[in-house]
Amino acid sequence: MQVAILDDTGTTARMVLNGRLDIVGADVVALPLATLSGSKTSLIVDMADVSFLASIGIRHLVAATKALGRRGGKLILLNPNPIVTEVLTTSGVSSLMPIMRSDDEAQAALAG
Amino acid sequence: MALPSARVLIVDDIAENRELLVRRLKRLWIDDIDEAVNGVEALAAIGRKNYDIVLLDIMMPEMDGFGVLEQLKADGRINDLPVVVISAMNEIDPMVRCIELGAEDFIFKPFNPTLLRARVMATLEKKALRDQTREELRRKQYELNEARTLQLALVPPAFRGNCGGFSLSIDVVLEPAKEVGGDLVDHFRVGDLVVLALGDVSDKGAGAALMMARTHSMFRGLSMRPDADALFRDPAAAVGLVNAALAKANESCMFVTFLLATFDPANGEFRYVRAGHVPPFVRRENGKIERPSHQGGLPLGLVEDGVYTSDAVLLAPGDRVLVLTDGFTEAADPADNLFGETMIESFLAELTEDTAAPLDLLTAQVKAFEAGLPAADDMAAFLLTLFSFPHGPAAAP
Repeated sequence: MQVAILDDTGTTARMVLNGRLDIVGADVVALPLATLSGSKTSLIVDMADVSFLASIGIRHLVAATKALGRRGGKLILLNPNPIVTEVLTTSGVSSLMPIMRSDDEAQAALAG
Repeated sequence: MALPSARVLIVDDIAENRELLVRRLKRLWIDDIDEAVNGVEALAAIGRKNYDIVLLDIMMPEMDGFGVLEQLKADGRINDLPVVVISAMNEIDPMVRCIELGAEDFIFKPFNPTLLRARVMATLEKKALRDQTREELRRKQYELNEARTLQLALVPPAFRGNCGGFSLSIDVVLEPAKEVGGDLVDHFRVGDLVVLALGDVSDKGAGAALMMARTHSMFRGLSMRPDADALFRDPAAAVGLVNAALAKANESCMFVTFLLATFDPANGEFRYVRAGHVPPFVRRENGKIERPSHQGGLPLGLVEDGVYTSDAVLLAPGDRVLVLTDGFTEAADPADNLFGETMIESFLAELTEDTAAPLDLLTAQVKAFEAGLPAADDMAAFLLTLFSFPHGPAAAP
């Protein structure tokens, strides 16, 4: 699992994940995710290159969503692949974290 | 470190050498010292008492130091017993041979007292740390085994009998990947209703096991309440209550994907709440597979005011419902292929009403697929079978 953090200067940060978000991957993203969700208003998590999402990964994403939500912010998942999308919708957590298909869509969702 | 309590065996055929060593050790506050004059006596002493260190001479009558080391290596005791060789054989070959046989260290005679002290203390310290680690591991293993026994005891036995107009069986399986796991499976009766539950905690190990036990006992607790019939007739009510309790102050967001179902033997209705869990497999009598996938709400523990809804399918004699955790479907073979839902469907297709212990069969298929690889995830499942022919007298689960 590799994590890159972009646009770190504004109120919205952008996190690009690459790899498997399983137990090992969740360990890698836990700290940056918690830090950003504690300091930013909103977070766009680019999921395009996440090949697998385990429930432990969902747990960290939901924890970040709730931390942002307490301060009126949002977490948006950008472009998860079909397998990951299915995990998000089957478990119902996509109702907590909107899935957006493009940058424009994500920005609009944050603005709205 | 309590090194003075160390038990030491000195093996040397020359009395003056032994006395010198005893004197040196007493200066290190070591009192528990035994002596042996040859290899045979040394092995006998080692057989009687657990020493922390053996100071071993090489050239001795009867049996020499090599003989002692060979014997200790052969029966494996050298792994637990540090041996420091003290010898006048001032050459590299015998020294290498001793180390190869498992000796911890080698000191040349006549020895320098400071060197002796350093080697003995270092060896004892290493031994004490190793003993401590081993004891800690043993204690943890014991506790985990206890926890496993308790966890497996939460799984009720299978049921076969008559309920209302139906002859049915309920099979259950729980296989934690490690000693304890986060999957749960349960079934019980509330009045005439048959209640079935399956869950998967979003983690593994001891923390997940506690969450699993907590969830299990909450539903069991609800089933004891005077208003249990109302809570389980629409299982969304029971799920909502447990979710609210689990979500309270759940900062770490550990959650449980869950499926709670009730089968009403009065009319054949199978009503389920799918809280983030994978949809059930319904295999009709004609072999057709359906996946009723009404989204009943979020996994348990995530949102305190989560709303839950149920949906129902009608079952008839000959139908089966299988609900399982992803430990089955995401089991991988050595080439990293997943067992997958197709394999589950073909398992269901091949089931007959005479198949004994069907879930054991499925578990065995998954293990054969994994081809000896350790299970990556916990496995839990329940299978409700409505027989197309009647059975013996009614019995209660």
